[in-house]
Amino acid sequence: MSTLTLIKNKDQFRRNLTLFILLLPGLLWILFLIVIPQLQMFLDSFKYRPIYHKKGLTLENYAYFFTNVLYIKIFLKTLLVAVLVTFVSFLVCFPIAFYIAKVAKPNVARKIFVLVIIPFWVSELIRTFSWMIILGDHGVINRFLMMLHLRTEPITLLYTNFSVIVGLVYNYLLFMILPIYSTLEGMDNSLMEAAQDLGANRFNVIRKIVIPYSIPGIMSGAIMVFMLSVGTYIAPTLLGGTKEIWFTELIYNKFFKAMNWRLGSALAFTLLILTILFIFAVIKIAGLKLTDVIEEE
Amino acid sequence: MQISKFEKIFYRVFLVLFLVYLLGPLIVVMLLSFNTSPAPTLPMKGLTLKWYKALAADSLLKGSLLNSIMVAIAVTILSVSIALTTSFALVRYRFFGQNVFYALALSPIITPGVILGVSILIFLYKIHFQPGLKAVVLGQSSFIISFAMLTIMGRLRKFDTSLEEAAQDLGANKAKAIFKITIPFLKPAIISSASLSFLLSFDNFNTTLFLVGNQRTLPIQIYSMLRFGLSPKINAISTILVVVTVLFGFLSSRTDETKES
Repeated sequence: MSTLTLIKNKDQFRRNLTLFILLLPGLLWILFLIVIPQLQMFLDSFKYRPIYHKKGLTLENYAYFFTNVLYIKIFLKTLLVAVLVTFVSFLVCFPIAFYIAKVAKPNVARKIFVLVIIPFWVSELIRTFSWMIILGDHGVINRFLMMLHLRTEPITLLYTNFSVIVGLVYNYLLFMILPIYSTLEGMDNSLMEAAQDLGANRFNVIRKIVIPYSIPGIMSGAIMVFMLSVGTYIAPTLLGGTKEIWFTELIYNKFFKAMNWRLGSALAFTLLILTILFIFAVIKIAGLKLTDVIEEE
Repeated sequence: MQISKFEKIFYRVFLVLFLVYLLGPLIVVMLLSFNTSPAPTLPMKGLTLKWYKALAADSLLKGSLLNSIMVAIAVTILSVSIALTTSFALVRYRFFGQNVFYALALSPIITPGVILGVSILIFLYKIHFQPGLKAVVLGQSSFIISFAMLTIMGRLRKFDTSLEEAAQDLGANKAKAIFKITIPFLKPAIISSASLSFLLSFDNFNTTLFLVGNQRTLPIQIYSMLRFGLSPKINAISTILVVVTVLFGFLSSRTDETKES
């Protein structure tokens, strides 16, 4: 062997060693905090409850879940409300993102941007709490209506699906604004001007030019808002009260009240699959790449 | 670009309503922390600081605050260090399975926090690791590392490697070049990923809930107070947290801007 290849081999060895040392912490993180726990959860969902002392794999946890009308109802309601929350977030956020990116003057836009971001530095728990105060039977809105003698009895706003939707939209709308804003920011204004010059009215410019252009941003936003909504425990339990159970609450109850971890795992794994399916459906429809969607945030 | 008067008015009205929706509830929370009435609702009856005094006497709350700070410090150190080494490996090297590795490293960002909490709880139980603050540190880090990594990678990609090579040509060894040139270049990203990690950890509820055992972090403590009933004491602690986090946010975004420029 010539000295040159020896040096080359030594360099190669050092490069690989450095890479290995750099990768090791990340590998441990991905293995022990992400891959193995989720595989374990997957496996556990196919096991019998320990009290049965039965070995082997079973579908009984899933069978129990899918034949239980109440559970299916909760699951579908969670899915439906989360989709609704995602859609409402889009309706609320799109005009704001468009205004900041394309209409407002740069110095005004910057000020609005700061005002929009500030509430999201505050914890989700406190933001949810603020809606308990606003929507309660003796809350700000009801007091206001009764003071104006518009109502004599309070309207039930809190502990309904309505309050859950209001709270979830409120908690996660920044995740919709930011990606839409950043795609619109990159859009050439001349696209809109050209369409206007060719005779399109403003509404059609927005519908045919601006919205299609911002699809990648809208989709990133939709993924985040949907995922955060189905997967949270705070707003649905505080604003939804005891009548309206959320799927995550069901999971929590299986783990800490019924102490049935196997069934809990089956429920949690179903939620994970639901999220993954939603994400892949959105990515397929919009023709995006997963890593780009995440980096967009 | 032509904007009609109607459209202009629409945006103005929409924006004002939006800002009321966004900021109104938080302002109401803060106002009511100074209200004498024990029922947190408007109109205000009189001004008082008694709810703040009640906070100071609440040892459960103070204990949970301390726990949250300790957890957040541990999570920040762990997350930023792992994010730093992983970013170097991903940006500077090409290796087998890199795309899969990268996708897995980002996946916690789009995994519901409850799922992370549940799965890590199951795994820790298997290896006889008790729930508690240490488990919370691991659980929170599982997704906070991803956020820290994105911040650091973004800046590392902008780094011109010829600077490191120049330092090596001038006689510095590789390690010295990295510590003298690359790390200072990354400093703004390290600072902002650290403040992001701290904030995400300090506020976290969904993952923490499953791993905390019978100990309490501040969000867990506030949550159980809320379940017990509304009290202006919660408004008082919220007001303090709002003021502190907003100041913290302003300071860290300021340092970002000055460092970037």
